[in-house]
Amino acid sequence: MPTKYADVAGCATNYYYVGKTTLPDVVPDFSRGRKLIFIHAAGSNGHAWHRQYDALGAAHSPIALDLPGHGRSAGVEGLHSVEAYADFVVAFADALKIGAAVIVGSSLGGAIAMDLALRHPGRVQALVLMATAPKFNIPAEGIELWRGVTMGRAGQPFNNDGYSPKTIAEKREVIQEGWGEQIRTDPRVRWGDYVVGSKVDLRERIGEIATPTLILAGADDQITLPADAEFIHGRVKGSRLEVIADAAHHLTTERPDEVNAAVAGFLAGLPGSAA
Amino acid sequence: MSLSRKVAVTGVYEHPTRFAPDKTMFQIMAESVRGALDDCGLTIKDVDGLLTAGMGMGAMAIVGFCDYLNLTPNFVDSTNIGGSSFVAHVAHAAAAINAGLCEVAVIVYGSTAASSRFAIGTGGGGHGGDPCDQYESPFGPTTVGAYAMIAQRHMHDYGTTSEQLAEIAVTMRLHASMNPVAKYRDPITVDDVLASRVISSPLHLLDCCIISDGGGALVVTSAARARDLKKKPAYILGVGETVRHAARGQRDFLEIAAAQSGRLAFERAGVAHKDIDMAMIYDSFTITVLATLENLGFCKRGEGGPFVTGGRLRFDGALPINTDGGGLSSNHPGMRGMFLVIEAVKQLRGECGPRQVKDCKIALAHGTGGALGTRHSGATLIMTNQ
Repeated sequence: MPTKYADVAGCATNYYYVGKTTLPDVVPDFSRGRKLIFIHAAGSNGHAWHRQYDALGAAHSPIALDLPGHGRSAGVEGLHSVEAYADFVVAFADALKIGAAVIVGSSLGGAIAMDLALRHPGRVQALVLMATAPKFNIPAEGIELWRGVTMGRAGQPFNNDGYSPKTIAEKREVIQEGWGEQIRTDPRVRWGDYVVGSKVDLRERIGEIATPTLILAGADDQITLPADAEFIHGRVKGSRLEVIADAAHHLTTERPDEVNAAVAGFLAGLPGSAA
Repeated sequence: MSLSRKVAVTGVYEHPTRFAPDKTMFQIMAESVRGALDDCGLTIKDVDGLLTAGMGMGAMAIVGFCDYLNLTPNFVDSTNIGGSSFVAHVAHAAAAINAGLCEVAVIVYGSTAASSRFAIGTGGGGHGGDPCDQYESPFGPTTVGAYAMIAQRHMHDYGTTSEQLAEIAVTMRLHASMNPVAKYRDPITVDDVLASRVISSPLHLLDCCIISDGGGALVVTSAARARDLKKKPAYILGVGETVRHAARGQRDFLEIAAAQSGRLAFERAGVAHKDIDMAMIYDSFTITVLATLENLGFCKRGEGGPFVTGGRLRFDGALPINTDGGGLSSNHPGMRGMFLVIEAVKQLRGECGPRQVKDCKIALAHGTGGALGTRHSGATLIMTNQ
């Protein structure tokens, strides 16, 4: 799949998409099906969505960006709030001449997607929220550990956190791939994302989300709990919730077929979609 | 024949990027050339000399870069003696201009060390393939290891401590906090340095320079022409360059190239150490600064430890060093000599804002290339705004 850079408020922003390549300043063709903008998790990058954009790219126009400081985008730090990230995604859509799109977010990216839907409702045709929460429970010692990594006091942890027992037992390569994605972004950026994540609290506001919303949760997720997904489902009117078995926080890589089928079905049912 | 005050650095540009995954080395270089020419009010049509060096460059890259700029200069020089190259290039450009070989020389550097994931300090100390590497490379020395050996020797001979070295890193970070484009700007303490993991004993992570992308350019021309340009000239007073190596096994490890290049530069400039208002000292590692200050003669051999403490190296101290934050905190794309000259010129112009050194009239820049513990180069440049 091709990658391309967009100049977003001076930040060279890398994105992955599906389709024909174009000259540097020419926006690629995003006319297939729905425009899908994928927002990755804390310390992650757009490539982590490759199972999704590969599967959905034939019928739709997926676009997975690296947020500032992440992956192959410019910048040595991330942004300092969920709101700043959401505004950045809107500026990114402007740069790609995209008005409204389906916004897909995972974990911190899900919070960014919700904030975007609340403050820029005209830019959101629908929301897909995966392994996310309106308020994250990030232990202070977890944040401190990553600060320690940035200060040379601790090594980067490479562990099974966020994976289901079945993934740990049967899909070692998925976890190793996740570690590969982890090192594509400077630990300082990941630490900053955890600080951002620890401050966000959308519980009072998400009831105002009026866009069609699909919520996906991993049944074994202990980072963002299925109860968090149920909370969102209870507040966002008309939302659909699917809890995926044998998946945890990294459900997009643990159970990609189930995730992709759920997203494809949701998109097919959106108003204005061809039957 | 003296070069003193005959040639000046008139345009400087430090590329603000610290991570540019979307750019090539040549893009960063070209943007830097434009920046330095804009800085002094010249255009690419005025340029008739070009000097460059880089880690990612092949032997003929300078010809390729002339192609990139569509330039056919009368003087080219791609001397590569490691990180000090660009300090030496100022000397070479000055000599060429003084000899009438060219009139306006641009010195340029660009690198994507961070976004291309170069293993600079932990990579091999030898350059693999040079005949002299055959007795070292098979045993796996690293660049950081070769510097750590100097630190260990200094500690053994003179009782220098990790706390003393750490103060250098703390001071550079303080300066970086006043540089909006520095990569690391959050203050650190001596304890932070000592608590960071050991990379090569006795050097901790925070004793080591960072890795960034970046680039920059300098415009050098005759003093007469420089006086008519936009910015106040930084006149070249004195230069010196040399190398140190295994010396048939008779090497004194704490005697480095700076001892000779510094002596030459001071003699040629006709100034004394007390005349230096600020210095830009190559800081690949904290020990590089300490060893260089001793060898340049700012303090006696063995006294570097106490010398670097007590705030002496701060921008408001007795001998301000690396006011931009240095390679330890601001930027280090692999060959940092370029930024030593840029910051020294900015200090002489009074353009450094909160980190400006008061009454800065004479500045020194010293670059180190290679590894102090093995083969290395040193280049010293003394400039004035008077």
